[in-house]
Amino acid sequence: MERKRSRTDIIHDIMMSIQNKNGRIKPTHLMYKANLSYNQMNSYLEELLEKEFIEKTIEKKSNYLLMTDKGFNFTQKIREMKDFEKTFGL
Amino acid sequence: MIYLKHTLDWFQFPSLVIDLFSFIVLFLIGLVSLKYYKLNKNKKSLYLSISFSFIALSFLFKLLTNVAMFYDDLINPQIGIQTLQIIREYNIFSNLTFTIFAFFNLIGLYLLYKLYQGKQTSSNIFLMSYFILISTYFSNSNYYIFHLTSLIFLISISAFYWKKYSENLFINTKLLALSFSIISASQIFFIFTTFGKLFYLAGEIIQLGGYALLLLIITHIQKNGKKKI
Repeated sequence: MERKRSRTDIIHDIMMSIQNKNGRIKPTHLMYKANLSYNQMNSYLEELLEKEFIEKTIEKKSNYLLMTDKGFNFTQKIREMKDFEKTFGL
Repeated sequence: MIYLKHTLDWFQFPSLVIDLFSFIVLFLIGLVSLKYYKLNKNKKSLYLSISFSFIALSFLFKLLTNVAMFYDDLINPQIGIQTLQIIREYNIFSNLTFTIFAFFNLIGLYLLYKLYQGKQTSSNIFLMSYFILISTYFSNSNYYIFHLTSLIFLISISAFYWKKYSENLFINTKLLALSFSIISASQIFFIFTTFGKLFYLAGEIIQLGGYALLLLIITHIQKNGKKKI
């Protein structure tokens, strides 16, 4: 049985989903890619927007989420941390 | 109790450099682990940071012991009344720093061992604390006791990392298991130091290899974090 995702795991999945789409994704796509409910996603996005890791933009009447440089650096840190934890079996 | 000089004369300075290098690597791991704890609040990261900080701190005291010995050799070419006084003071100092080194090192290794053993009963913790105190107490007069205790902890920790590697097949875990196995092997040479200073030399060089590998793992993790897209 897979363990429940931690808060950091979910944030990592959100950021990686955006990054894998070249730093730009529609919220509906993000919801499926990161495997989140609508309410869950909104709660996480609120925090990520507040911390300026992502920003909202409207292109051709569609909402998009963009990853900022700050968000990119944060994603790097999370990846390093996950590698570190995996290495040391934490 | 007199702290015996284990190293060869020409190896005294390189030995100081090795101790300093080991301290830097261990301190770095403690710091990195603390940084990740602040990010995800995983208590295991905090315990890992505390364990490595204790071991790093112990190397600072080992460094102090060896610096005192190195300094003593430089200023102390002839025996006189004043020199005897210096030797007496030096012995008290080196005994103290060596005892602190042994204590902090064993505490750090025990915390690391405990991290991977899950929850332990209070009687088990009490028993282990007693053994650490006993080992520390006798380490000054019987140098090998400290390294024998370290060896036991290090073998257990290495075994855990090898087991972890068999589960996750992650190259960094393999390197980590290898580095701890190398450090364990170095303890075997330190145990036989009383039979010849060459054992100490071999132990220091092998230990350096183990810590160099640990540094490689940390730089590998940092580099991979930046590389992956």
